[in-house]
Amino acid sequence: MKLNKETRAAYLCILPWVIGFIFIIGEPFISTIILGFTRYDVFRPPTFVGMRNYMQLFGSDDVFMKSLVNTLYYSAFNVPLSVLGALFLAILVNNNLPGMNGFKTALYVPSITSGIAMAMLWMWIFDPGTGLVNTFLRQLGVTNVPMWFESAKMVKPTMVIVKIVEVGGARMIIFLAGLQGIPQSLYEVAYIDGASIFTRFRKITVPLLSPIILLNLVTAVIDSFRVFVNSYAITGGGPLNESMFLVLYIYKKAFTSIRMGYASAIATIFLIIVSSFAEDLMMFRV
Amino acid sequence: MFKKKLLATMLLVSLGVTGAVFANGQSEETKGKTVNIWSFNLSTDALSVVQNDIIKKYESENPGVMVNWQNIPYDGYREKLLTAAAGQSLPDIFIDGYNMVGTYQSAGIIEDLTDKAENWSRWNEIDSSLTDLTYYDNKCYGLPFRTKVYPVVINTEIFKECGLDPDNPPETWSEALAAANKILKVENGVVTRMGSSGFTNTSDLTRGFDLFVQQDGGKFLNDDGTPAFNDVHGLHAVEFLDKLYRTQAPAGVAPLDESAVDAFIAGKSGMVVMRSYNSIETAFQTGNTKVAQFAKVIPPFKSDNVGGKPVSFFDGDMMYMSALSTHKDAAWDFMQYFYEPDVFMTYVQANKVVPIYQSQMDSDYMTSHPLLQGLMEMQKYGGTLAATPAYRSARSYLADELEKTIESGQSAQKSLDNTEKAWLREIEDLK
Repeated sequence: MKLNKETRAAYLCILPWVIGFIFIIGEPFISTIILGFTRYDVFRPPTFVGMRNYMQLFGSDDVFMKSLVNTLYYSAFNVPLSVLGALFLAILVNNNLPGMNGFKTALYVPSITSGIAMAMLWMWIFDPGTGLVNTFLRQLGVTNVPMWFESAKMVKPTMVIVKIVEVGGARMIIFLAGLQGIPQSLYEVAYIDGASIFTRFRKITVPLLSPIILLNLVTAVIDSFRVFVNSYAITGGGPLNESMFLVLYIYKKAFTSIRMGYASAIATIFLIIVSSFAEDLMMFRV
Repeated sequence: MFKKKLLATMLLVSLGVTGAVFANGQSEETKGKTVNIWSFNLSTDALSVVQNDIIKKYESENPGVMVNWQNIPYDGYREKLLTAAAGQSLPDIFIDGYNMVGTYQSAGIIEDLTDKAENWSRWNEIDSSLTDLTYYDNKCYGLPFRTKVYPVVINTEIFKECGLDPDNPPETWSEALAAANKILKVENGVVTRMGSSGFTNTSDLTRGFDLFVQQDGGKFLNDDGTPAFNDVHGLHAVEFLDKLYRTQAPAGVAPLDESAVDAFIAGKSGMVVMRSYNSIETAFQTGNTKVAQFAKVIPPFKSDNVGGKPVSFFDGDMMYMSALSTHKDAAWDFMQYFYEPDVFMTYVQANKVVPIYQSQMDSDYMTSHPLLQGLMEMQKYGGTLAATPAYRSARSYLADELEKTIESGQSAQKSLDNTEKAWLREIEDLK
């Protein structure tokens, strides 16, 4: 097929991106899948081992199964709570009251703060001995204060809480944009017809906001599966591997144990899981 | 139309310029005569001495040779080394731990320096307990760069306050536990003073276990690298480790905010076990003279069981030469220059570490720092350091199982059984 000049120019324009995609994303993507079938320690060329990595993962690697369960647990709570929380905040700040811009800024700031800086802050806030939260709880008379990041039972809920605070602001802004795109006349008409607040929310807000809700849901699922910074910086995966998430486990296998082939196998499984969830969610789009 | 052509042309040109900018701009002349060195965590003073004094002097005495010394933060150091190894672009010389020698030797990326080192005039002047650490499989793979000692350091003031005699410190495990439990203070559900401190992370647990197995008269690994710790000595070591850890962080109590060594320096810990001395010494050398007043190095503990012996660790980093280096002669020449006693001493003093030459053990630098002299006496208690290829990846399983015993009461035997299985699997995977 002969390309006209305009088409040729268009292809030339997107060529840099395509080249970048192939070498920076495409090639590593394919290599990871292939390396999952090898033993590779970086120093020597990869050795093909077939399904051995996958058999070990599902047969005898307790830590992998633990990291998978931890990631699913984290996502199961983080996704709905962060999305619903952000929606709630967006509805709250979607009012023309004095000082509302200050609230929006305060809620958004954690989203643009460096992850490591936030992690250091959380370590201080949730320190069992002298942290802000437990000091406050002790002043209220609570004697059996939670150990937060240092408790095997509490570490995952704590991770969920901090993530909701970190990303809530960004999601709130996206919801806010969607809310402000809904014509006020619809609410006025519904009000005149006697619809309650809840009915107006259910019949007007949710349907018109559904593309935004879906967007936030998909990004929340992908983000929650990619949890890494807080577990890397704060807990290192402990205590007792209760905060060992998939991405952190991939990192540890790759760069601490220097088992790139094995880490690639885990990464491939991770890709399949996240793609499946994202695809399932996309099937709900209107 | 013209605008579209212009835009497309500009995009192609920008691609070309980008490629040129990121291309290696070194000339052939410089490439062939530059010795690249990577280190991690050198102090600012040490780096300044190395780059401004030592290297400048070496380059002026060796025209045509350049030395490029990069100091990289530890957090990203090993990743950078791995990436360089994968890309066949390791520096000519790099610093890394003694316990990595097995991994690097089995990967074939470090140079066998046996002939060079043993024929070098200064080799026998270096303390033999340090040169011994550079050998793996009876071959020498580097030069001692930074020595870490893991002494027991007690706080004499806290000892006296608790009715303990600092001149008659604990020698056995049971005495150590009794002293630590006496010192431990918990108020309102928070630790306010640790009986002992030293286990900051899971790596410390694995080292502690390794040390205690040897203190009980056992072995950590067999000569072929397979686990030797799944026996009665391993059980004793786990039990002692568990009890000692509880004098630092009792169950159900909020631990101290400070790290093990910071707590000791701040007078909130009775004794430090299983931490390298460097932080304590640094605190002293940076003006905290109070540390020197109350800190006292004591001999390592030994198990109460038959065959128990006081064992400590000498660990640290050494200077490796890359087997992939294209100018090994130049690299070796610089190494010999750097390790001239008076040159190396300037680095030692700047980095606040222990000297390596026997002749410098009585130097002013050592005698004016009370802690250092006590530390060097620890060399007679030297234990075996694990450095096999499987150690690095397998120890994470040991750390997990030890944590399960300490935190959730899993039996010590189960922890050892699980660790042994996982360790053997790692060895098998590396074959």
